[in-house]
Amino acid sequence: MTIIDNTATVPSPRDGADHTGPLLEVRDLHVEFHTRDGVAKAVNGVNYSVNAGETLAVLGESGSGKSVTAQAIMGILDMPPGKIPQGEILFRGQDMLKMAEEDRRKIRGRKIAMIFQDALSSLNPVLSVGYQLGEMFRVHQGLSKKDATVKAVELMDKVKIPAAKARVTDYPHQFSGGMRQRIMIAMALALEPDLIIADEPTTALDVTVQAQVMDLLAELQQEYNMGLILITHDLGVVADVADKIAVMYAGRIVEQAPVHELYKRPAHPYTKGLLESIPRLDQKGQELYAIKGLPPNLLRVPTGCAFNPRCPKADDICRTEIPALVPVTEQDGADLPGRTSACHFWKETIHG
Amino acid sequence: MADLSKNDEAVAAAVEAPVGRGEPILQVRNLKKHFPLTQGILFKKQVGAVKAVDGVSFDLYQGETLGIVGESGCGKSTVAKLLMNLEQATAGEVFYKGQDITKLGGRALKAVRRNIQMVFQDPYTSLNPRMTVGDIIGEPFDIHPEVAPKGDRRRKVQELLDVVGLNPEYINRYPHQFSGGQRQRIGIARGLALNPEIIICDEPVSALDVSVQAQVINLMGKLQDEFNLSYLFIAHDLSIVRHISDRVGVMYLGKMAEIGTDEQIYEHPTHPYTQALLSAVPVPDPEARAHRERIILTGDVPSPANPPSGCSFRTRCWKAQERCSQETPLLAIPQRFDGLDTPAAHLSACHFAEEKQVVPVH
Amino acid sequence: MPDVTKTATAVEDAVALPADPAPAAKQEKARSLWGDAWVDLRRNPYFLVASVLIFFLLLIAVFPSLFTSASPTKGDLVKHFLGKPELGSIGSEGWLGYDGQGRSVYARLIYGTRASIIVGVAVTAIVTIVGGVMGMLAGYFGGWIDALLSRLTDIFFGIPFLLGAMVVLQSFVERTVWVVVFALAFLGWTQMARVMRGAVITVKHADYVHAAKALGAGTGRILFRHILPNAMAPVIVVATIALGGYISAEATLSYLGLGLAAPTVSWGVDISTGVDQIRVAQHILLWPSIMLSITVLAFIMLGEAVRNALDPKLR
Repeated sequence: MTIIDNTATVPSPRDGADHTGPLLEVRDLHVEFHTRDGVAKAVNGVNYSVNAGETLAVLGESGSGKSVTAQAIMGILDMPPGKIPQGEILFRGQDMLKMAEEDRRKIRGRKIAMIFQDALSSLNPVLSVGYQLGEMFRVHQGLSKKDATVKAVELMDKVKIPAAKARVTDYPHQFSGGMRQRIMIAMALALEPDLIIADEPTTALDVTVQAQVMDLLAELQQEYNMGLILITHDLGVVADVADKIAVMYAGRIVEQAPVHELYKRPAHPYTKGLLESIPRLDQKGQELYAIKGLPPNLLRVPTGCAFNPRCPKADDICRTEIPALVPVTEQDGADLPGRTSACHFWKETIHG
Repeated sequence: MADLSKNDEAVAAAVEAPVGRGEPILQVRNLKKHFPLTQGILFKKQVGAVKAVDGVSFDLYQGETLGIVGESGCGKSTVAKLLMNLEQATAGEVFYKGQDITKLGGRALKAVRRNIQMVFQDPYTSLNPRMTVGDIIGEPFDIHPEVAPKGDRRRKVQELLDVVGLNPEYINRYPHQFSGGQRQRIGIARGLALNPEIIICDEPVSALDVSVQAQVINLMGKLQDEFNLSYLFIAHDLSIVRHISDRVGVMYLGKMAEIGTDEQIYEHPTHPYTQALLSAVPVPDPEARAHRERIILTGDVPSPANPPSGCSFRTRCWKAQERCSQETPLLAIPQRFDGLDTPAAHLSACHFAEEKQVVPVH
Repeated sequence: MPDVTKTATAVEDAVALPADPAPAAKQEKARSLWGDAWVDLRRNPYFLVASVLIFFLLLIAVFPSLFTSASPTKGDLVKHFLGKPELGSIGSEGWLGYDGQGRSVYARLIYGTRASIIVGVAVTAIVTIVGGVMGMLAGYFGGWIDALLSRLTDIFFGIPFLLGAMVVLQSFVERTVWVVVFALAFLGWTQMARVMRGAVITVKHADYVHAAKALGAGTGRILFRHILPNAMAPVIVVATIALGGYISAEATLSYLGLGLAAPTVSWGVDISTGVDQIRVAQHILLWPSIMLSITVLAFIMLGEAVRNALDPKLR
């Protein structure tokens, strides 16, 4: 067995030991798309970080820039029309945006893997799942066809696909939605990456299957001590698995907090509105609280705080000045570790 | 119209008659839809059937909201299409004010269609991209000219836009100039145009953003009161169904597993599938999460082309016994609760129905 | 693993959101999908070049006398193969030289345009209507109608295009432009029928068609108001590109001596003559060939530009 691992320029876990910072850090990232109607500012200065073994949930609606940020990290953004005018993406301290394409490619899949929402369109329909899983080992580790298949079966066992040995030669359409998503997870895990980015991994699945897949993902993350970035719009899914949450709105992070804190005491009116607007299984209310208005048009992001036209607390300052993401404290000034909010009135929101 | 028969007239007259509040307006009896599986190109031979809907019965009462929940492939969307006559039922009856609408055609069917309207799931595909908003909402009037005289239509369309919370000046715009939530409002306005009595909503908010879902749900609640509508609300999101429904039916593999009032289903479920479904719903509250018991089902939903014998849920059920594979459980009040004054005494299709609380009660 | 469409939809998501119903939004005009496509087209240099070329070709075809006063058929044998091109005096009778019978090559080029344009436009119009109707019926009604029409399409599709056209043309004594049009259209409609059938089947399952049915709309309304407007885009693109193909098919048939023949003036006829005389005078072959290539190219560019403008993925 020959392992071709010419990752000389890529920091391996060993080098990583010298690097004490977070596994992945995004600093002041900007992404824009040049379209017929003008420049759409999809991401406007995003900062977040994730450590090994930690789960960061990025929560946002369509157009919030949550998926675009992930694509920028993976380096699968279409450029053009996409453009990254500013920002850094540090993987173990090295800026991936300044790396040669060759070095980036070595990180992609091997160190950072991605799981998509739609497993069916992400798998090649004319190749068996065993072949597609084995491909990772053949290409990256130079295994023989036979060894690769053995590895593929191991992986399928790992993600709890029943009768893996018999099904390794089956094609993607022969699997159910939940099983296909497991295969996607197996593919992402194949090279034991340090970080997994999961973009709405359970959105397309049924409730009873959703729970199975999320549990599996959490279990594997713990076993491999991986970092996990979970991108979702579902406040329920996040509550289950995340350690910390970053809430995005119009290409910015508006609030960051450990998961329990966020649900208990939101420090941004948008988060608060979202939490109040979802119907609860265990409550039957009369009228739902509804955030008024529409998500912003990225071609014409409102001046000041992007949320101001929809915000019940909006004041003059909100229309002129973009609020910075500042640390949130207790009423007596005591630290609330890991909590930040980008609202001029965060004090009133959290303590009011 | 030439094909106007005496019978058609009678039906048309019957559907115009009003129905009192709390009386059944739609009665579905043993409804079935089997899609044949065929082989061969020139000479097609039937080799089996996908039993998308396999004997479903329920009543919809005037002025209420009946929620239908289930996972993908359980047949809930096919039920909607059957009720709209967009698909032909294989067997069974749908009585609208006492008339079996599955066997109607011509003018009688058109009269019924006026009174049963539909809101579709995907606001991006349910509006014709080449028509203006005014043409889309005004189309019902073109098809049923008796509802609004020609000169009146523009004003009617603008009124409808106003009712669903859109600017009446948007009448000349095209659908792609609107966001998802706004498009769904346009779809609702189209459904309201003919002043129907029943609106069938097939996952009306599942394609919308969270912050917009609440707006649309509230709008639908408001319209129900204003126009005295009966909703059949089909969805996979149990939280939303609970919020909007008076009664709820749970479907699994083309059959109704359990049906009852909102309280009976959510707080006193007796069918194991309902219990599993409820326990799997993610609750946006990490604290409450910790105190909940979760039932994680194994495996996936079996194919409706080849459902298990007996009870179709038995392959995933933790209670399954020999009897479940031999005898199909009927949708009835379970024997142990029969005659008792308890919320658990509601229709449930399980041999071993027993109450289990999975949702915390406040 | 890189999923390109994902990014595309992300862009779409980012852009598709319209302005909020604030006063500023009122300036946003009602724009139909065709209107959007037109905005796109106007900015596409390929479209601009193609439409200028096609405009001139149509002008030449309709009013050839505007461009030359010389006759394409009367020759003066004294000018037999006379004169290298006098490129200095553009537009003069002899600036592109003379042919074997002393006729002005330039005049023949101008007058030959009409035959090519007529063939291209007429064949395209006929195949679009015939094929379009066949495809629409087959796609919408399905079942035995589809089986019948599709098999019929397959049979015609199986006949080699040029070979079939030759056989049809052989059965006519007099081969006018319209006979050539008939021969090409007789075999060409299958392509349109297939494109239309596919487009109709896709559109037929759209929710807005279900919505119209649920309202009680009749077949006519569903077909002409909902299905046809949404199924036309691919047909228009294929038709524009095919137009160029029909023009070159006419030239090919004429070259083979099966299409148009003298005294009809056409590029194909001249190319045929030009090949015979290639050792003596190359310019007789050169100029009609260039015109033919430019014309075909113009229509193909137009088709490509329209395709890009109508492609919903870029929306």
